[in-house]
Amino acid sequence: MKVSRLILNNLVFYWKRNFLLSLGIAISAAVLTGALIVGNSVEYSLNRIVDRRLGEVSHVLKAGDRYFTRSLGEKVGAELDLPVSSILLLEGMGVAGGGQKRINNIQIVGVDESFDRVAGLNHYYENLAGDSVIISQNLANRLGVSKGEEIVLGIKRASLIPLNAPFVSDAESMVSLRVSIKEISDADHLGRFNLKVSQTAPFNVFISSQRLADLMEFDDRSNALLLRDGTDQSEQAIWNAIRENFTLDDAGLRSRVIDELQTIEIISERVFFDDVLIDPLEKATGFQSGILTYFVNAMQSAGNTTPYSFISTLPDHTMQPDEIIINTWLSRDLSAVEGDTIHVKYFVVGPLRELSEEITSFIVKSVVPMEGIFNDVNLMPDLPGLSDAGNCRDWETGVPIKLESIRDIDEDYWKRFKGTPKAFIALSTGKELWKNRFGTFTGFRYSALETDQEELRKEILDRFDPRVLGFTLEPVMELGHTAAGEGVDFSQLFGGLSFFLLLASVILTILLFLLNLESREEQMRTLAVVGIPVKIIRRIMLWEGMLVALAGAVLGQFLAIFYNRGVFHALNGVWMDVVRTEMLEIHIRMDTLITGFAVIMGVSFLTLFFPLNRFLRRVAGRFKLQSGLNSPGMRRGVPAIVSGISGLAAIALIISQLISGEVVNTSIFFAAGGLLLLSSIFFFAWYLGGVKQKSVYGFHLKILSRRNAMRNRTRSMSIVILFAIGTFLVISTGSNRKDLFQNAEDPNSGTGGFLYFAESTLPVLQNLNDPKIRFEFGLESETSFVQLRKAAGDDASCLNLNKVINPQVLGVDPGMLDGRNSFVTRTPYLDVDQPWMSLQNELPGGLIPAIADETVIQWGLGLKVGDTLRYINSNGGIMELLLIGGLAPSIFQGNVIISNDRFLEQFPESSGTHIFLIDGEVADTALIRTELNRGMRDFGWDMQMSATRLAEFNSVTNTYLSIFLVLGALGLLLGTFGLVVVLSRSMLERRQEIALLKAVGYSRKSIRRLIVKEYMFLLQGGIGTGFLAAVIATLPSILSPNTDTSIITILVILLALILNGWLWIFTVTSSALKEKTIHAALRND
Amino acid sequence: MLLQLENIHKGFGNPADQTYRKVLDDLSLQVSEGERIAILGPSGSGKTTLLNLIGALDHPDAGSVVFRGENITSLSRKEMDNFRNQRIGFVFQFHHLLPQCTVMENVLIPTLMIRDRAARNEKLEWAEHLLNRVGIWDHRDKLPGKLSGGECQRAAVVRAMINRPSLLLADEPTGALDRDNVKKMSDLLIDLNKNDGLTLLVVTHSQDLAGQMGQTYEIREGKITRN
Repeated sequence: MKVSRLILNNLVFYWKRNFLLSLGIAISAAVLTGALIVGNSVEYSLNRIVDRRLGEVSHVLKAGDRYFTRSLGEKVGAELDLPVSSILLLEGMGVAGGGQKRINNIQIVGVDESFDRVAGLNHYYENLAGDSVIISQNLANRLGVSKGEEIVLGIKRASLIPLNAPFVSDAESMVSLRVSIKEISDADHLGRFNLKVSQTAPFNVFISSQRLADLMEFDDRSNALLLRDGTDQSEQAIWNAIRENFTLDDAGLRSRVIDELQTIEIISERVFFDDVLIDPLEKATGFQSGILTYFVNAMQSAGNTTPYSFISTLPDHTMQPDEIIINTWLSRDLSAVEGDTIHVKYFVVGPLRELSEEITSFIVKSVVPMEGIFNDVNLMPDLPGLSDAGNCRDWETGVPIKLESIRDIDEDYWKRFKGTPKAFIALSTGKELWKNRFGTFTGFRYSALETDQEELRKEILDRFDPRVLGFTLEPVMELGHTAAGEGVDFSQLFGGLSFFLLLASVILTILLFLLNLESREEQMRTLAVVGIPVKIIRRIMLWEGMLVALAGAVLGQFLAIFYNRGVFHALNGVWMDVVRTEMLEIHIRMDTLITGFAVIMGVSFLTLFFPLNRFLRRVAGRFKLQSGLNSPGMRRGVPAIVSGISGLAAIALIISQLISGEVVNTSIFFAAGGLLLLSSIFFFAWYLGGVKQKSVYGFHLKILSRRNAMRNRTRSMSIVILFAIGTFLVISTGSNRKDLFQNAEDPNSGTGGFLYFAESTLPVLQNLNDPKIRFEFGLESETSFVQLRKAAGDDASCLNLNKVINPQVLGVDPGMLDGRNSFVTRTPYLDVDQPWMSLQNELPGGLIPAIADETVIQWGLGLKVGDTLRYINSNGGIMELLLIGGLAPSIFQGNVIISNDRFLEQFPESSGTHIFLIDGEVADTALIRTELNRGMRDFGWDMQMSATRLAEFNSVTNTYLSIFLVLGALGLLLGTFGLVVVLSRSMLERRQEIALLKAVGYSRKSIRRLIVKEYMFLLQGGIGTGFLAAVIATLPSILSPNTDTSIITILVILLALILNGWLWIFTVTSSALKEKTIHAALRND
Repeated sequence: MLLQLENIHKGFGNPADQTYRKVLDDLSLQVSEGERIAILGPSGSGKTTLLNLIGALDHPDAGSVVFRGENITSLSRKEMDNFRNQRIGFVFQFHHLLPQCTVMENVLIPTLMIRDRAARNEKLEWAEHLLNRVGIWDHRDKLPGKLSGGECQRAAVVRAMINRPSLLLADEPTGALDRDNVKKMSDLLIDLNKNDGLTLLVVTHSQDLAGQMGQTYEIREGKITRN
């Protein structure tokens, strides 16, 4: 006889019990490994999505709002010997079905044959020409179109000049085009092409880049260069190649030689030079001066007016700040001579094209003949719609022109001299008056005697880095995979969500193991009595247990795969709200299975080892071979102390909340509930530890049933704990479900009290609160708008599973949000009374105050308030945002908000607003929608009720709660199974007792009542304990109008739990009390 | 002298409070090699406690238990295990055979720690001899569930004898047997005493069994007296 033989005998003889035990372990293993597989699969799927949205693109050179020459890409590709593709990436909208179906926020991608090479495709995109397009599968589905059909595209006009720059016409902000669908591109053909970090596929339209450039009326330009680096060149090497081949044209700068002045001039396609270029331009050899030429509305002197003219600047040393030099034409027109005063009227353009006419007066220093520099048409900036107009009446400017004020002599001047400036002021004065966020200068001039054009171009290029203009090189593939790898950890998430299921299965495993041990107590004592050392007995039992665990763990790995399939089926279906993609694929990794297996074996070991040790200590301490199954357990005082302390702590927390009278802190209530649960469980443990019977005369059936429940405290407490925790989780989960639409009008709610939230594909450059603008758009209802600017970034809301580093930044006028929303976290920099106004504060170290949803800060960014976010601004500089406050869940989820002023400092080229919060009367909801959809249609207007938007975010939370609820219910099922096992076992062990009761005259019915009472006492104890704690924990939610906690639902759940338990108790008891069983017990004795 | 108990005191509960119950009070007993001793006494008089002290299953509160000149009250836990395994055989009212093991395997349970193959084979031969001697050799491959109560109890005796102990401690060995099997068990124990020189110390209520023992003692109120 060997130990191994004994173990084998044990395994075979007790195969039913062992099978049950292994099943318990298998469930634990399935839940644990299943959660790990879900995590792996989501990460794998996100990585697959990265591959599918980028093809073979490894790096991308982004140009911000600029457009570089296509030759830059060709030269970089040739130098690095890499496939590259210059694309033109624009935004637009698609319309089909005669206008019935309309999709906004479409990505318009101008591509050529090189796109195939970086995409890793063969001849798929190369033959795109003219008005044929390839559209993505999701767009085809949404528009309900197929190959060969036609759709209409509205494409946001791309402009070399920032749209909101002074004097730029906004007449045509969209280009419409009817196109035919050549192909519908699926995920394998880069239909999901997206440079943004997101698992959600954009709507894509691929069109010939040549055709797109023609439509935008600029040749040879792109705004993104895709690189396919298969050779692992360093980012620095790629950047060096870009830097080396970068030209002034790529920076939007042009040079020209003005022979008659022996001058070389550098001008900007963007009209105004970015301030970051001033220093390199001023330091270049031969620098003469910077020039600022401005379009003024009128010049007046002594009752005479000259309308619409250009005024340029001369170096400061040429005149005093309040002096003006005028040409002879103007002198004649105004009858102004040296010493006269000229009043200059001009527009200053505000952030949303708000024009304010200013007047500044000058004293005529001199009148100069129209020759040399004073007859230089090149001083007029190249303003499309103005400088290229044949006559004044054809002007298309971004400012209102009173055509009736234009006289024939003005037309005559325009025809002869175009926009040659009629007057000149000191440069410093010009800067003071007309400097704007788009820049200060309209030209830089150099002496052709000191340098030549080529040398100058090269020198200027050497003096600045393209990054200061907002050019960035991103290793998109690497970043994408990093974001996927560091995204939402579904292993952890599902581990957390499955917590109770896991706990229930572990408790069940312990329970089953303890039952096994208890039934074998006598055997262990026998072994000990015959001299088998305890360590050998422990080894035998552990080996036996671990072999069972091994079987369970192996079985669990297979079950995990099925469990995982179930979870994925739900994630791709009813739980899709939390993943927002249908692209999830199951990915099973061997190391995950091994990890799951190892962890569960470890857990099993601990689960078996400690109860076994405790058991063996008892066996070693009491060799007497009698059945005394009562567990001595812990001393009775311990549960009482723990119960008392945790109960008092819970009460203290609740009282502190009531006394403080502050905003209800849900965390404190949840902590109080948790403590109460602990307290109640330990109270029960104390109670079951034994209650002294005061008088024998009080002994009756109820007391007998209590005594029975106290008989085996471990078993009884297992039932209580399982049902208490299960009920606590199920009830608290149910109570926390958010009501998606309640209280939406409250300014302190997540909607901010706004009726609608809208986004536009095209920027809205105007102030929609301006009555004139409202009239233009046909908006008659009583509405007010908060308009927000946005800078490119990734969606950091809970809808994005990837790790987001740079969320989208929004710029807002803080005053317009004063008194809106609620804050849940704050730093000292956040004003308590006017939190939004804190966005305007100056912070030390140049930090910019920023606000975001607390959920975004915590989960999307993995940060906390007080942390800093770093961005590259449009000048290539570092922008540091200090998160000064965290909002309660709001419609801003996914974004970081800063003040408009700070926004424009960092993104001066920002053109218009894209996001709108709309206030209006609830009664006018339909009218407002109709008006705005009609009036703003051409902007790619997409509006939804604020409450609906918030509901979309909250639906993620609710879905997580649903998952938790389902898994919690599964855990309760396991709990019920545990109850059945314990009850069945007890019935078996108590056959003698039952037989005795029968013998002394108890009826079957009364015995059943006794046992049902006994177990219902435990069940109700567990459920009642969990329920009470859950109610306390979720009291704020239950009382809050923002949750849809239904008392009826809670009561129904409660009743269902009790009924389910009662049913099982009744069934098992009835079955065990059959006459045959009892008679058999009597015979045995 | 095989066994010498001197001034044994043993009680249960906390001596400082009312829960304390004195079971053995200054008890002394001497047992010679090959003796047959029966211990009688009412329930709760301390018979089994005495057996547990002799069998190194428990320690006295005071006094000494000396087995062949060795004070077993000072043994370590490991030495106590070894002492029980090698020197003492136990038989109880119920057989306590492992239901998952055959009769032969049950008999060999005390030999589990033996690693030496020759020693194992020797035990196997001895088990065969004993099983034949008690008349259950034919049942050696059966599980206990297939045997009668008497057969199981005989198997339990064989298990107690497998390591050739010097002393057999029997606690109500016939308490769960019918009249026929009581007789057979009594005969078997006497046979082992007479032919194998096994010292017997039997706790029993059975006057028949007690009558077959050489010495009879009675425990009352913690004191032992020779009848």
